[in-house]
Amino acid sequence: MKRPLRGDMPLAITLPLHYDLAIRTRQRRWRRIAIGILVLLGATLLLAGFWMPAKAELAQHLLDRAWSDTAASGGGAAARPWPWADTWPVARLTLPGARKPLNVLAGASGRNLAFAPALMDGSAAPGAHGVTVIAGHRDTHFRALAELAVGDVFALERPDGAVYQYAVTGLDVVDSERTEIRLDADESIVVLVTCWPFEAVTVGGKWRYLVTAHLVSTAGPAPARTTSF
Amino acid sequence: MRKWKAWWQHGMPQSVCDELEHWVRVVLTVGAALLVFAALKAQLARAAEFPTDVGAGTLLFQTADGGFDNAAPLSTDMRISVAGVVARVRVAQRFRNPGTSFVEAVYVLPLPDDAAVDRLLMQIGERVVEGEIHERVQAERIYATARAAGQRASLVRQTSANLFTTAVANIPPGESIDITIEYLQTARYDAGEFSLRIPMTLTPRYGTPDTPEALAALLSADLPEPIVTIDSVMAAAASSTPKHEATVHAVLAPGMPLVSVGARGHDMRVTRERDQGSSLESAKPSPGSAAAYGVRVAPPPAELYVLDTVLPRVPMDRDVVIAWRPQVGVAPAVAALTETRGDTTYALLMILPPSSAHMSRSQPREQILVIDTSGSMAGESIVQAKAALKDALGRLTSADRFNVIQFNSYTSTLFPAPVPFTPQNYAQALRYVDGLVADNGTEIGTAIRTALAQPAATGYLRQLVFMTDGAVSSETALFQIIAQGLGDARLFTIGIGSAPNSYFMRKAAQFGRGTYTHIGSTGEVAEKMQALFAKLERVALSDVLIDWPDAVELYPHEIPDVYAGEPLVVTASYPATPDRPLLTTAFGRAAGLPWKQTVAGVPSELPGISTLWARRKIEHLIDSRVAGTPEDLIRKLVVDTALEHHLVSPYTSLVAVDKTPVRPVAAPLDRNDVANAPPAGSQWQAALPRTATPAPLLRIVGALVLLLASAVALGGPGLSALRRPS
Repeated sequence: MKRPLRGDMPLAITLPLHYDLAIRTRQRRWRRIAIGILVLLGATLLLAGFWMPAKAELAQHLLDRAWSDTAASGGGAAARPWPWADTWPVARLTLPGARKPLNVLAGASGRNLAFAPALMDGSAAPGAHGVTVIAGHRDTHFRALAELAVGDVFALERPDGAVYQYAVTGLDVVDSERTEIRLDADESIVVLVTCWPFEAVTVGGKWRYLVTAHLVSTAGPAPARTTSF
Repeated sequence: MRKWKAWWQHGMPQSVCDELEHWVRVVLTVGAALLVFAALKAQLARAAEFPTDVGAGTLLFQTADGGFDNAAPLSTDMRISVAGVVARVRVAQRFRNPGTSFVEAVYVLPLPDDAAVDRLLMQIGERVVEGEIHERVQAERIYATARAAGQRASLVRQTSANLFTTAVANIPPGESIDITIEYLQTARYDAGEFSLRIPMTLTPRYGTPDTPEALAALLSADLPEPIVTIDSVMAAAASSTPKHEATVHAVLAPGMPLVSVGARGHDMRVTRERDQGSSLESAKPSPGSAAAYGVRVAPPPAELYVLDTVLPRVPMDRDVVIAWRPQVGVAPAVAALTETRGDTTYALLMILPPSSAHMSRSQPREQILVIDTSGSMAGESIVQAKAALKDALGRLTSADRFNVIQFNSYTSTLFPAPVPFTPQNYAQALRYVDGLVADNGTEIGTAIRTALAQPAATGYLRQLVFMTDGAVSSETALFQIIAQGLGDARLFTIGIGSAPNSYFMRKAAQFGRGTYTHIGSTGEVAEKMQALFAKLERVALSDVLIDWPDAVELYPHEIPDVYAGEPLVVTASYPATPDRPLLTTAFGRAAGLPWKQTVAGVPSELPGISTLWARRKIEHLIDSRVAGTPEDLIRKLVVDTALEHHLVSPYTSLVAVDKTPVRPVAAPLDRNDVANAPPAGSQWQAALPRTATPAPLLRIVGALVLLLASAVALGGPGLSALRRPS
């Protein structure tokens, strides 16, 4: 159906028809490019957003193998989870209600935390006198910390087979810019650290959620060493 | 209405259509953006509205009796007297108990690694109790007994080469006890400058403690309960950030005209005075000091410099270095200070190597650069280390070969074996250095082994350059690795950061037959590296022999090579010859030519040459552990020497006990570990890691972006369809 020509629209009359078409074609192309870019961007962000928890889950499987290798040697030789890794599982953490234990890596660097909860350098070995600090991401491994209550018991296993049961004695939210954890104690204490609030979307907030737990029972072969990792 | 609809369907002009389409798109975009913004804002608001009464604040783990929470800041007063190259430092610390119960305070005292601690004073009000030297186990028993009896007591022990702990028992509530420790040290001389390092803080150590006989044995086992372990004090340091403050006052009698005097680390004001007699605080009226001077020579009217910290109190977060530079040509090439005690004369001989301007570099080098990328290096330290490493790379020439090794918990090398210094290799090395990140622990042993095991090319001068803060514990084992694997190589250590473990660095360099350089700030990198490389290139003096009186006991036993700009310091003891002052000749080879220098001994202005000699003897005895000397023998010889010279050593401690008890035996005694101020520029006290991933945020933003895309996609065709009804 042909568009009616109107006297008050001189442009539409004077310009050739294909000019109008060219503008519309160009507009459509730009729109397509814009849509393409947006879709790509959105998909990439989504993928990255889902890849992180997936990586955290996958790494635990690789770590399982490294753990059994390390445990097979009685904890003497630390097996690396993947050939280029510069860390290794130093403990296994079983939170109440968890389907399977979490492997804990040595060194709470950002990179290690992407794979697993990690034991902070310089903090005490599980079961040893002193404070064992284990950090984990609030949105992957340590999401379950939100459900912990005072009195709950969780287990820490060491590569040499010793298993330590800790009872939760404190739940605190602290300002990480003003707080440092004191690492010495006359007993064995575990502090689990994760970000707070749990549902927050932004990264780099200053609040941390600390779960403090005291040793309640020990099982397994080895006596506690006092050296730190 | 019908007319309007008709116009909409059939008569909408092209320009209006475009206009409309444009506006719809704008509205959709703005809407989506607002949606994203609102979502973010809601989350931010949630994070921010956290109520502060849920337990926010500083987390302190207390012992059952709550003894940890009142670690009061310590006030420290340092007085330093320097005569020539000998310095006596008096560290007075006031341990205050702000609490309401009796407290035992424990403080780790960082001292220079060659410090000879020979005096302990405990002051309670007007009363002063002088510390006595005892074998360590016995001293600990005396202290423990006094502590149990409620008496005020103090114990100074050496926990490792450059760490001493002070324990003070039974500080009454609301009162304080002043503890004064004195030590002797020698000034360093390097590239025309004398310097004296006054440590204020310490670097936390990483690694397993030394072998039981080495370090664990040093920690007390005889007390009812161990007072403190080094780990726990380190941990205490890591946890709280006390504001310890100090005043520093120094009197410098250099004995020669100076070009400049100054201090690094903290600002100090320098005033110049004429010596009116001896205004040097004769800090230690040593027994038999009348005879201590041997022949007394009237000292020439010398200039005195008084240094005071500009601020009344400075934070104890970095070391202070006092430095003075003599006028060119006036620093004596050889100096000998003597002190006679009883029938023995002690001498300190210092030889400055001849000027080496005419010497040039001949042999190409094979340089293995090793950099510490452990977690303790994070912060300013790694920046300094990278700058130093790049500086070192920049000094290589096309004739040289090199490799770069980094270590933290693991060791990795840039090239499998050393490579020629080509532009490509250089560029690759620079990229490698840029990418280094400080993380994880310090497994220095593997790194040293790897560096020593690098395949060597013949015809090259093999040099290992180690850049680290030396935060290690198992020092003896590491020295053993160096001593056994060195071969023809030379190991040079570069200490990085505000408080490197300079004992380890200096010793490692000694066993590696190289030198130790300390870089305190990024600004010093170029200058210090220049000085180091000037040294790396030439040995100024070798094959040194010194003509001593008979029956001399010399430390060090074997005289090392002397590098350009550094002095050779030798201590000796020999039977006293009261009528005849020391006259000795040193022979050697300088730049391949025979060299000879004669020197006459001058009695020292400050007593303590004997103490310095004894300190070096103890160091030598302990070093002999690496060579396999039995532990029992070492212990016996060290105890004998230390008791004779009133010295704190790994096997002897100073203990002071006040006779009158203050604490009723029934009243409890809390323990208070006084944490050291953490070194400036280090990150190790920042304890809580970041524990959130951006995953949820990415998912939300991703979903919103997709929403936006679909809005644009749907918005466009919808309008076009309206515009062109078929």
